[in-house]
Amino acid sequence: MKRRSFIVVSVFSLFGIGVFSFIRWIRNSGNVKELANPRFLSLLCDSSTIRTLGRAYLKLKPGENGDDILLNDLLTEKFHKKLLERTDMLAAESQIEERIKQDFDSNNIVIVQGWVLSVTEARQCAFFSILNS
Amino acid sequence: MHRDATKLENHSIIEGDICIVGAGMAGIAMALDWINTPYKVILLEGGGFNVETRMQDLYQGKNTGQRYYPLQSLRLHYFGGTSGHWAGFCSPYDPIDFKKRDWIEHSGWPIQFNDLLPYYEQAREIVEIESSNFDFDYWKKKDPELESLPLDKKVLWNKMWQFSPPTRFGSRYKEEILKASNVHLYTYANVVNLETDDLVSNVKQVLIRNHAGKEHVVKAKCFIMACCAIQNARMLLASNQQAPNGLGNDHGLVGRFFMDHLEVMTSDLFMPFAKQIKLYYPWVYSETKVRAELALTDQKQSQLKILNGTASLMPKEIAANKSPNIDTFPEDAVATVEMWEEMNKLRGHENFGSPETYNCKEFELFTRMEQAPNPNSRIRLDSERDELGVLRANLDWRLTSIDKRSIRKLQEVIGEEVGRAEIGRIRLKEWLRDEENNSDWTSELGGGWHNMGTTRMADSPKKGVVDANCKVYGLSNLYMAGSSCFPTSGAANPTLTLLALTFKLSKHLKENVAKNFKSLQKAMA
Repeated sequence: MKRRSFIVVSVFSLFGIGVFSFIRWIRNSGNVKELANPRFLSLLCDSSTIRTLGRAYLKLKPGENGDDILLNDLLTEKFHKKLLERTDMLAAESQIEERIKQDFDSNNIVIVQGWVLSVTEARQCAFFSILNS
Repeated sequence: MHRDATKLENHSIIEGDICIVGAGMAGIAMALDWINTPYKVILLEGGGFNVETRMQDLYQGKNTGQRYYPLQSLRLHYFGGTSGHWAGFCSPYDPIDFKKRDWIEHSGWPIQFNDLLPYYEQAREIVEIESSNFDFDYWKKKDPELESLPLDKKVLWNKMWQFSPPTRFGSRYKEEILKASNVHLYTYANVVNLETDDLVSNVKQVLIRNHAGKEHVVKAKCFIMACCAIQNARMLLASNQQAPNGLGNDHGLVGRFFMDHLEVMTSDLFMPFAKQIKLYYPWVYSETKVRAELALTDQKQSQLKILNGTASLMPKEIAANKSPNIDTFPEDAVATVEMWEEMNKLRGHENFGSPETYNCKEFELFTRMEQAPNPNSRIRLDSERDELGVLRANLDWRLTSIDKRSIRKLQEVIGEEVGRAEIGRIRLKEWLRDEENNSDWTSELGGGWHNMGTTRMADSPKKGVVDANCKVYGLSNLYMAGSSCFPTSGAANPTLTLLALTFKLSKHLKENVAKNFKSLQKAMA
């Protein structure tokens, strides 16, 4: 391997390990549960329904079945950065709210057990179902 | 003036300039429009002035397709017709309903919305609603409490409805008809056959019968069938002495394209906080003046390639107590009329239905969807005859995949829009959830009791039974009135539009046909 390629691969490997470790860290923190709470939907239905919707979503999208994958999907690059800067979770939550709104604006929706949901909130349900399995 | 055909001398010959067959909403509207003209109008009604089981039995028929209402109680066979159990829903068709839509086979009328527009005013007058204006903004000015949901107007709009008292044509217009010197109403005058000349080019006379065993002949220069979509088709098919396949049926189209609106509960709408929904609140008999339903814009229909449809909001507590119409509609027509009369007596009573508050947060959506025109959805003649010797109707109501897909898509769009507006979430009913399944229907599905399309209008005899003026192709003096002429069913109830079309036909007859009566009479002789 050429020296330049070696450096590029190493940097990316370290970055990958970093992100993975970061996700492991955040998953184990109490705050992460907040990310798994579809705020609007939880005004309409109980946690058992949210868990059921989450499981149903994962059946529809088995490729997303994994907390690391879901967390990655839920967190924007900007949020990664903010977390690294140790910003509190409120910013993350409001960013997720914003993404839900964007989903509806761009027809990024999914129908889960008849519910017309934003893909982001469906992922939140899925994440919730994993964290509460 | 009025004559009871059971009391006429047997084999009487009745003669007039125009003969209107059927004194329901279309027939009475047409007759009223000819009062004080120099023409003698014969108005034939199969029944009397009250609903009778024996008369309703003549409408008895078979349902061999999709589950449907009992034919003997669906339409009323007496003076005033089905207005006797009409709820009074009025809204015009939308311009898109008349257009050729390339994603809907057999769509497109030979006339457009603007051609009917002048006649909607006459229709408004006869059904006694306040205004010809159906714009939300107009009604909002009159009642500031009518709050619209904050949805994207490019996607969903408020389709407004007005409510007739409801006008019972039988009682409301009886005196006017009876007093008219040039209108000759015959009750118990059931048409059993239309007889043509040898060339089957014009109708010479119609044969009428009744339960008293009397048989008479009616001669006129021009005949208008206004018996409802099922009976109009049945009568053309049954008049097969000179034309073996029935009149106007050279291309096998009579009875085909039977349509009704698909009416069914389709989804739940959940809102975290109650909203004031006076604008959308369910119709309260004889109290609701206007209300709105959520309707899809033309742009959205075109983009999704679906049919026209609307959804109304029914608060959960009301929906919970509502059985599907298809399960509760009485087989006995007399009972349907009595039910409305009972309702009428309750008017003005306390707790009649007006809510204490219009604030609600959980709803069921009730959808009224256009049915796609389908040649296999049709009326045929059955092998059994009615008491007067006419073969009964056999209805094979058939739906297609675009019908169900359109209902599902409407729910999805509403789901997207309430999500976008951050006011709620939609949950589709279980029977709608499988996107791959567009053929199975819930047992709760009913029609709106709106029969349409069996003598459809088209610009060529290969595509339809009547032309743009409702004249039957191939017959110089036979016209169809009412919703049997509709090529597509639209999203709104047909009453206002069928009346507008009747007034258009009436004007056409006065201006272009009646003036030629003398030469027509010579030709027929």
